Amino acid sequence: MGSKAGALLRYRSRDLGIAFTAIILVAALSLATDTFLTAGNLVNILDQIVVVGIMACAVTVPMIAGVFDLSMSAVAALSAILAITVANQVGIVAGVVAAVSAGVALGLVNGLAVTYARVNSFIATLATSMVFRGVATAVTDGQIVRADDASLQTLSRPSPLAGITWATWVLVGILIVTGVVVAKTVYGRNLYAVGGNENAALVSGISVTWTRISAFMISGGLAAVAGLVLASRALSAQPSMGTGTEFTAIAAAVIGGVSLAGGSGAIWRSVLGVVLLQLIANGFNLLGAPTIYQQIVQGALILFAVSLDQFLRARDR
Amino acid sequence: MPTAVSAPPLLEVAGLTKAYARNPVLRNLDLEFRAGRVYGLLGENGAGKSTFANILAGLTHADSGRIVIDGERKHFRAPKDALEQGIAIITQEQSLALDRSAAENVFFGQLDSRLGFVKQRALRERFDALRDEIGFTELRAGAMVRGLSQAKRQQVEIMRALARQARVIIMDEPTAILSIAETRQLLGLIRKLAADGRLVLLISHFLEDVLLIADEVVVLRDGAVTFAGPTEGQTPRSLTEHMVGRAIEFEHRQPATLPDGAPTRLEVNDLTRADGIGPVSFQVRAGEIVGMAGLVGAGRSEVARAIFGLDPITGGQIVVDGFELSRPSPRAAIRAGLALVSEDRKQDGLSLVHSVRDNSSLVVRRAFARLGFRAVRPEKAAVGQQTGRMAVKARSIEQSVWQLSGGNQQKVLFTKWVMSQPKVLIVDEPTRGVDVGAKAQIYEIIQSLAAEGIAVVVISSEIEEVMGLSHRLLVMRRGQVVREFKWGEASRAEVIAAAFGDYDQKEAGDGGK
Repeated sequence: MGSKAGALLRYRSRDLGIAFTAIILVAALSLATDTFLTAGNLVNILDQIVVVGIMACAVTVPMIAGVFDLSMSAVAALSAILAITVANQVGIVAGVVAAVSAGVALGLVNGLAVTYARVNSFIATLATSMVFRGVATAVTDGQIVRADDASLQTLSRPSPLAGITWATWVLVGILIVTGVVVAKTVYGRNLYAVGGNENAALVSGISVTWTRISAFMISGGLAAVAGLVLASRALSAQPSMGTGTEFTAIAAAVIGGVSLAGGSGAIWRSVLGVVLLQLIANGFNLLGAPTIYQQIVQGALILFAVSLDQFLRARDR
Repeated sequence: MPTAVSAPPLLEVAGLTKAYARNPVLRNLDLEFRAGRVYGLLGENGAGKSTFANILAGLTHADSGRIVIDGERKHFRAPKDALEQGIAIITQEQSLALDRSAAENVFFGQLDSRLGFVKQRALRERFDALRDEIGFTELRAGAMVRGLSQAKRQQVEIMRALARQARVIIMDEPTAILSIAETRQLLGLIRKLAADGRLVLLISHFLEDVLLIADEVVVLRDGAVTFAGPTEGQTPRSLTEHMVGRAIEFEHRQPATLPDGAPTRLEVNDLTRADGIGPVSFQVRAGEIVGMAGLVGAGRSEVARAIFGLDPITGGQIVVDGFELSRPSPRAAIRAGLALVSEDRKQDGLSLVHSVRDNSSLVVRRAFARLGFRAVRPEKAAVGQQTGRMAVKARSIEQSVWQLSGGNQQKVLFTKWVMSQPKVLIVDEPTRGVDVGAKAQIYEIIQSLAAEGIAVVVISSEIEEVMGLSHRLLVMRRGQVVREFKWGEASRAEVIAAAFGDYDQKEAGDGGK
């Protein structure tokens, strides 16, 4: 392609690819059903992506820095249990603060395991997730912990603005803040530098250790917020809640174009990936198709996204 | 061909053409190679040498053209097809199983086995026989490849090629990872392989190596053959002309004289490391270029890494511009005014997936930020100016670094450190993997930085390079500075002798041309 537009198209083909797919899906669903483009359905879609969406924002931070956090749902469960326990005894605000602090602290544990103990992040966070969930089971005896106070449920209620739930606004807030931190700040570029070439970052005077530890602390804190949203739905928490959500979040990030190798990606990409997965689920739902096929399509999409990414890299080279 | 060889060529290519994404890499190559001879394949980076070698080895396919072996046309769909025809390649990226023994790597695919179990003793005996035949005396059959040095791993690869009865052995930059002694050993072996009737195709940046051992040279420029003929009568200068299409002045000018009062910028006193390197002491003044020569493993890069806080020190003192670095770390070193253009730009120099701009401004990231937020516009302006000064050739400063040539990547690495306005610049192997044209530019950059008052330390395995650039040349051996020469004082042979130590002096003197 010789033209400037052509060069731009080639340069941007990955971005356009995801956006294009999303637009096609929206158009197809709008034409195929008369229920898709209703306020009720759209509000519903938005509410349903909150938990995975928050986790997708969360996991993108360590992923850009070249490490994975597979402990997020365990962190979410343990933090939510703590939140409800503290809320029942002290108050809801103390409960929320305790949950987020616990999430950050558990992230610190992950970070120390990966940096100082030099355990591969896959294994380290897989191991800590077992520990965290085990602790959650131990403190609750495997029972459901119920909230005495219903104020936590506000999160799942519609806000005055277009009936969108408060939880959705939490996601929007997290999307904006993490998006800006990653894309616009010096801290964000440290994340990219560490993920792009750890040794070069070190030589350039960046603390690789601290950058990665802090990335895990961010993902831990955000995982706790995701746990709070989950708990608000049923006004309760239990050790097995949210199991496996982080894998959906990572898959969404990959579909959106966040590199598994680290050093590239963006928060908005991951969230767009979540939206895409949810649109597919919603479509199956509205069309009344069996949900088994939904998994097949979503799985195929993940394979397609990763192979497309590989293909584009190979062609650019 | 002018040589009076009556035998038909062992290997012939005709009309070989290859393009990547419509960029021609090879243009209509017609070449003949005869058994029992060593061919040097020369060309700048991107001239098509590696592509040509990969096509011969079946690693990639030509778009059109023929490969003819013993007068018969062959089609290589995969490396195994080429191996069956006796063509083996030894590339820069070695392809060994790191956690298997040397012997298993050599005989993979043809292991002695009984009922599916490998017969270790028979394997070892075969390995030892082959090893003794070619003289890699220090290689043990049972040694795990992961624990072997780069040079030893290469020996394993060579043995594997021989174990497969290779008639054609292609070596892509084999000496780039070797010390002088190891290089000499390898060059000797290559001659022996040819004497045994094999055809060796040697791809190398080192013109002198090629002139020393090749019977014939093939020079590529932009994918086309610019010269093919006997080595006799060629000089580094004539080969360079074939490679770049113009004459390049290789003469190093005398470095600018230092003003008498030039202050000391870097002072290293009795630096020692846990691995036994040191004690090392030296000083570098503002505007001075101090070279460090020595064999690979003599401790030059290790000293640089220790000064920069990348490896711990066990004793000694590092003083930058009058201030002692009490707890060396890269961050403290940068703050004190040190900069390190490291040995391996892919390993710890650049982040290849990122843009020229992101790489260039990484060290000074805080200078282009307000309250922690990136200030893009001043950053772009500053990077644009510096990359212009360094003559970085890129579509724009937003282009990813991996798309650039080796020479341009190296210039980006210089840009990155020059942007930090250092007082002391340490450059480790500044021209490794860089083509001839870019080399001259990098020399100019180093000299102009010194002229601005930066104290420069140049570490290089290319002796002419350090000899030519440096006001003073330090020769390291076994972790210590053993000799010091002023510019123009040393001969190549003297430097080599100092690097090897006295016991080896005679031999080293003979080896150095």
